[in-house]
Amino acid sequence: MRYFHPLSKLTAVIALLPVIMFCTSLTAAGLGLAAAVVGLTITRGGRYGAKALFLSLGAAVLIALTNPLISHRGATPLLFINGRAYTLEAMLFGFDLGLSAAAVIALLTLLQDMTRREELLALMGRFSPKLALAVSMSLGFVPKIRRKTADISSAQLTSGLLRGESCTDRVVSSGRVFMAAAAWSAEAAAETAQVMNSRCYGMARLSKSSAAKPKARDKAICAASLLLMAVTAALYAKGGRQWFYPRLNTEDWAVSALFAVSFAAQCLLPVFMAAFIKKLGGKMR
Amino acid sequence: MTKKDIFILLAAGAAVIGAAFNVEIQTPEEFYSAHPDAVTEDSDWVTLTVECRSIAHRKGYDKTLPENGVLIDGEKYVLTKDETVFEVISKAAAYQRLPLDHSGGRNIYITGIDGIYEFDFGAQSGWLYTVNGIAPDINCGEYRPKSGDEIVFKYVDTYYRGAGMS
Repeated sequence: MRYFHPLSKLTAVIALLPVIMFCTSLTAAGLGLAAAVVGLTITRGGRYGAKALFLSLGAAVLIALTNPLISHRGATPLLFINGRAYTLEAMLFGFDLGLSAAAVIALLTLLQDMTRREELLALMGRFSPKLALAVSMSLGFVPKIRRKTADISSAQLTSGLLRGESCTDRVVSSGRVFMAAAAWSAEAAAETAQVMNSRCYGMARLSKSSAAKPKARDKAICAASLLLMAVTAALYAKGGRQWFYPRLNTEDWAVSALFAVSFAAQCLLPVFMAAFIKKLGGKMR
Repeated sequence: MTKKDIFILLAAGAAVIGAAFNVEIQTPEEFYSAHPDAVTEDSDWVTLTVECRSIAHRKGYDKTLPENGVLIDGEKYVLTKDETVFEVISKAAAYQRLPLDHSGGRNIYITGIDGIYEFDFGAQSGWLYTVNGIAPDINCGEYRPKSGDEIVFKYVDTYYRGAGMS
């Protein structure tokens, strides 16, 4: 049973990305990351959600601490390093960059949980069978190489190979295991491509695995996502933008508040969809 | 932990300590506390002007610009031996508490003064400098002014070679 058409799931998540990536706003980045973490908590459990939040914030803090070493703009110097200002505004800008990047990665992970590879193949196969194949193979690549790396590592450990007592030996061992896994994946990719070619994958007729059409609720979800994205973008253009330099500021606080509300509503869509699928017992992973 | 690990850790620690000796960290109070030498009858000196009249009344910029567009108005600073234009403006900006940003190691280019940066007012906007009304053909990190020279840093919104600029 399909609860949502893959088009509605894809639209709900992908519509968030342009706002996060192209709107300079701590609010948008924060809301996007929060929605993604809540969604991942629903799909993968609280422990994974906490880990995702911790890693995302850690990456954002790291970029926040290093950005002022490159960009010296801002009116609030905290330190001077070799005569160059290390400013608060540059730190905040770096934090925004880190949050945005983390939010995009987390949302794409959530999308991967909400859709199956066959659904994406069916959806994109109508428009671009080759793109559909590339996307579905890419989505499957990381879990496969992770499993293979674990297999190679445990096999070498069992054989007593490449395991020294020192930290450097362990680093070298890990590097060799990764090289072996990468070589395996390259060989497997070539083999898979030949097999799929021989079975005529990538041709429009055979790439579609489902003839299901979107229902009224899917159309409503797609329309709502796109409408909210348009409203959010308009509010951003009308005064919701945040400046980091020379001081953190916004053009119009009232419009910024509306921008936040609009984007928050947009962020709730994929979260509700994930919760709905989970509640009805849909297969997430 | 083996000898190899200890050696690598010591080498990494030595590299960090060596880098730390080359890094000077100052608080804003320490940085701005330096005062340039007072100009006397015997000392060499230059006058420095920093102005942004071309954009003083532009809208849409989130910064309070000085109304007359002048950040430093023809002030005299002591010129020490072999001092470059960049060194003059660096000490003046620190004394006046104006943030100064630059790029380049040997070829120094002033990218921003007091939060007004290149490209903030168009693709051709940025800071130019002149000495006695003429724009030198070398960067401010290499030009050595003489006593009595008049140095002007001007923010332009279009690149030009107008009156007095070669």
